[in-house]
Amino acid sequence: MDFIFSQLAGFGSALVSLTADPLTYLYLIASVFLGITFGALPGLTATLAVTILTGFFGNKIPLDYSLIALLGAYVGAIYGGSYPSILLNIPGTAASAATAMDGYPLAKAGRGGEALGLTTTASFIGTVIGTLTLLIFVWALLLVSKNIASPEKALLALFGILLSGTLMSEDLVIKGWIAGLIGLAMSMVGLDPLLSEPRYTFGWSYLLSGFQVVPVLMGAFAIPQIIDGLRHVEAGKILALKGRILPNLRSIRRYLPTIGRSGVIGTGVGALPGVGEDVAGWVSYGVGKTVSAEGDKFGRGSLEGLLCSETANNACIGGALIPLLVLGIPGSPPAAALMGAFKINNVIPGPTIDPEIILRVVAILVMASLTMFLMGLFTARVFIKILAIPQTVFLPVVMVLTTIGSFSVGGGINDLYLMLGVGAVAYFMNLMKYPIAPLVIGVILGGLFDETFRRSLFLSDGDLSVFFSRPGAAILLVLNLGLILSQLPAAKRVFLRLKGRSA
Amino acid sequence: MRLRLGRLAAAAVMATGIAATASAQDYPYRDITTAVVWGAGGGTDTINRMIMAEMEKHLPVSINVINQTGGVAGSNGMVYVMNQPDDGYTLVGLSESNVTAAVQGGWDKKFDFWYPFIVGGSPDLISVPADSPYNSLEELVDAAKAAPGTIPAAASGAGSIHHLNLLAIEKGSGAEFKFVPYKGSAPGQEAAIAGEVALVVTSLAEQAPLIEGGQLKPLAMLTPEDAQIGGATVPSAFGVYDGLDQYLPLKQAIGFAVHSSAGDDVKAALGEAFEQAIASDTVAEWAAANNYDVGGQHGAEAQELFANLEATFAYTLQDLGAATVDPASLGIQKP
Amino acid sequence: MDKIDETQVMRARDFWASVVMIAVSLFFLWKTSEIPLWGGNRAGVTGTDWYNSAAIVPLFIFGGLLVLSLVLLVISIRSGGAQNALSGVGIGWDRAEVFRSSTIGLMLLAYVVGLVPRVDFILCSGLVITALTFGFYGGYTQRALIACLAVTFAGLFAFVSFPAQADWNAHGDDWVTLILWIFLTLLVLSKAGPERVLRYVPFIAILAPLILVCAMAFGFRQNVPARGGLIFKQIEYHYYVTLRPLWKD
Repeated sequence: MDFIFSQLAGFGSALVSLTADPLTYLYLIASVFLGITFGALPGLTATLAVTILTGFFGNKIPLDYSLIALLGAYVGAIYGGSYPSILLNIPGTAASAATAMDGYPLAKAGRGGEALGLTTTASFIGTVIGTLTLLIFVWALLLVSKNIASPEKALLALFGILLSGTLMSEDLVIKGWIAGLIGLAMSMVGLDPLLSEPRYTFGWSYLLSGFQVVPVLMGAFAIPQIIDGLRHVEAGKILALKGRILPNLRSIRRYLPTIGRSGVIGTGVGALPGVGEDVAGWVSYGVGKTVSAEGDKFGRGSLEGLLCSETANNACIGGALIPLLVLGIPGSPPAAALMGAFKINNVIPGPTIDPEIILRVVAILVMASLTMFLMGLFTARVFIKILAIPQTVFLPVVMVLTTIGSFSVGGGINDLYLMLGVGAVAYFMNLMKYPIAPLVIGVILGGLFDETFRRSLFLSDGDLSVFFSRPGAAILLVLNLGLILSQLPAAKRVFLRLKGRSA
Repeated sequence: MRLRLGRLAAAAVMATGIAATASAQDYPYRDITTAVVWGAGGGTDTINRMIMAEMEKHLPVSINVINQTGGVAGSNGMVYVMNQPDDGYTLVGLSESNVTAAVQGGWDKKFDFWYPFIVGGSPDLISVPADSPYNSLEELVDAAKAAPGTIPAAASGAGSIHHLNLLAIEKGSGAEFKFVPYKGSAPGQEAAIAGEVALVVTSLAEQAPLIEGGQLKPLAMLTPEDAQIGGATVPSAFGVYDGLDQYLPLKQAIGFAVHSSAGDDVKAALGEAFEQAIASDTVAEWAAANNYDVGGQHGAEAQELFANLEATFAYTLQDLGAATVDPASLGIQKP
Repeated sequence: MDKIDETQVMRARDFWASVVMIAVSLFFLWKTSEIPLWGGNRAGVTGTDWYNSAAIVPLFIFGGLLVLSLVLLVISIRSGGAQNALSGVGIGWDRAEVFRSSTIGLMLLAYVVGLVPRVDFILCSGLVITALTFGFYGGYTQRALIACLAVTFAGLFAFVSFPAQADWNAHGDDWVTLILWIFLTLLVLSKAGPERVLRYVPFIAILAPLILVCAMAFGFRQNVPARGGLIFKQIEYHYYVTLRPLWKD
């Protein structure tokens, strides 16, 4: 009990220092506004919002403030996706895809204002649930994580890449793994961390330091989005909004158990490495549909269905930060962008991270969700106006934003070349339905895996037993093997079925 | 249309004309940019931000600090600054580790391409985990002599200042450790705390919070002087092994530089501001609080110091087989 | 097999993708053989062996990639991907789509590789914003072609006439870019009668890069591309010499 109280006290003081600083509000309002805008515009995603802001704020203002900007944009963007879902039946971000299922029918029935009021409240509650879980879990985990040495780190990195590959793939699971391997391969470029052996640099001295995180993120997330989005789209009709946007307190009270359940599901999905808000929204929606008494109404304008996805995708944010802060493994694609921001500030998320930073992150999340809530209630009409801007007008500006942001992070013009190259690879991968998240996780964790795997063997003089003689390592090894094996029978079944069909 | 273009062109020509006369003004008239070759938050970055803020007070302009990272031994940043005009408006923030960029294939210049200003550095020391069985340098060295090449020792990557210090203590004392390279000082220290390695060599500035927190036990300073930390005295290794002064001290030299080819007025203006900044209380207080020794060398003195470092580093790397370019081919003299 | 559904198209594409990936992983396995595997003493680290050589993890990675690509190849062949792979319809070849994405790709390439390092940031970004919006708003093929030609020509001109970094500050390419930008802007305005959105394009194209570059250079005090560019050089000069003394003294 003492532990929880001391946590709460620490959180309280972090919150007080945050609220007492006038600059906080400047960054919060600007970044949440920007985040909602990014979320609301179809073609721009939450990951892109955090990535681009990393380019802009990453190492230019103190980390304390850049965290406000990045987390504010993250929270705002996940929420903002619900506007076009409800009013246009086009999800603003993948995270809000499930929201459109019930939101659009509601808006068509003239209940758009009520739907928006509810999603705003649900997003707020979801974020807070995720944040509180983060506060408790991170601390429990940090106590354990001091014992994590090289073998555990290697296996954890591998697990993160594998899991992200398994769960994020829309098409065949093998494509997720291939994406992860391509990411790992990219991280091999440069001087190797143990013996300073140059690898795959092709005589370009810039590459000796390896692929930098920020240009890779920009390339992987921004470039495909821009190439794909620059096309003529018949403008959808934005449904007129009737009624005021106010949370319907009676519905909130009635569906409180749903909100709670969705919050927990969202946080849990978020905590899985590299699995993001879109999965959280769908899983929660699916669970809601089977569990709920009015499950048959889902998809035809059910308030409960709306709450399921919107609570979960925002709760996912707090969840995604748990593995990031404790282990240095990003829990979602936007968290990967956050990791990039930590890295360019020489802060390595993981067991040795300064506890003050964690408390500050929690305090910022609470403030950001509050800002988002208020903006959602009072300035919603501004965002609805923004929906009318065509993609072909704002995407070119995003390209320029990406370019100057990426340029100023550190590597200068070379970073831009790298960004373009990664962008081309990512574009073709998108075309073939390979998930991009495992690639990014692979690039981020690949160096760690290489270094810790080989160092473990170096210290044990080549004795492979280091990977199963330590209890932590043994558990992780079993998890890794289990993940691989679980996919093999499935693959076999596919083979059999295909054989049956062709015969 | 033609009219508009013509007017535009005329305006542009006028503006260019103004710019041409501007270069005749005294240095510095516009802001100076310092490109630090290492990442934000690191030692070189912190020191440059501190000294630049102090130098600004003695110059009529502001100084921006940016980071240009990447390459080998900071080569990306050095190449970037090399390609800027040598007018003194672009400085490079660097440290002793950058002298290996040439022999590691990062660029093709000797280090006298730069005209350096040395702010200072933090002395290296050898430490063990708090629960280590070794309580003095002798115990550790004796254990290493009994089982050569088995005691794992952490230091940041091959050819770093900390690695060279580890090598020096090996040569001076006759011990042989199992060198385990880490990417930077922090992961190496983390590994020592987790018990993955038996000892770690990094700088006092980097270890201070861990020593004060009781997680690391300092054994010996690798400088001729003792040091005070956390209310205790860390003895100098020089008193234990006589032969050490042949190889040590090898000290960090963190600071910044301008092109050697820059004009004398530029060097004089920067030198004056630098000397005033180094003499200030702010720098002294900062150095004391962060366990740094203030250097303050610039000009010929600093160039000689860096030439020595360059020779030592380059030939050590060649001996270790980690040099991809022969130092002799760059005109670096053997020390 | 009359109608080819999306999965079928995907399997046909997978066929080609796996062939490419097999080639790539074989190439990199060959490159990996250049990294010493059996150790020896490297960089002061004694006792190196195969298990901690720099080549071991890459061998796993590219070996794994090879195996997974082979599995993917097998999957795609068994589901009929190989038969469809040779026909344009089979891989879902869509001429309009290929034209669209390749013109965008070319423009981005010309922008990043040719223009940004050499030409004033406001000029080249203005050109690119104008070109991308003009080329793809409304979805007219001819406009996309004109826009693409303008940007590619500017990029190619800059790249060919000033290849070496020492010449990047020269201004010949800046003028070419400016002229192309003005030409494209006039074209945009001539079409802007019925299409109201196009009227805003020139403003966005000037303001967005101008605000961004000034915020980056004077607000965040960071490095920006092409500091010696035609327009930025003037902005920087007047900021320090004309404007700043107003509040500094």
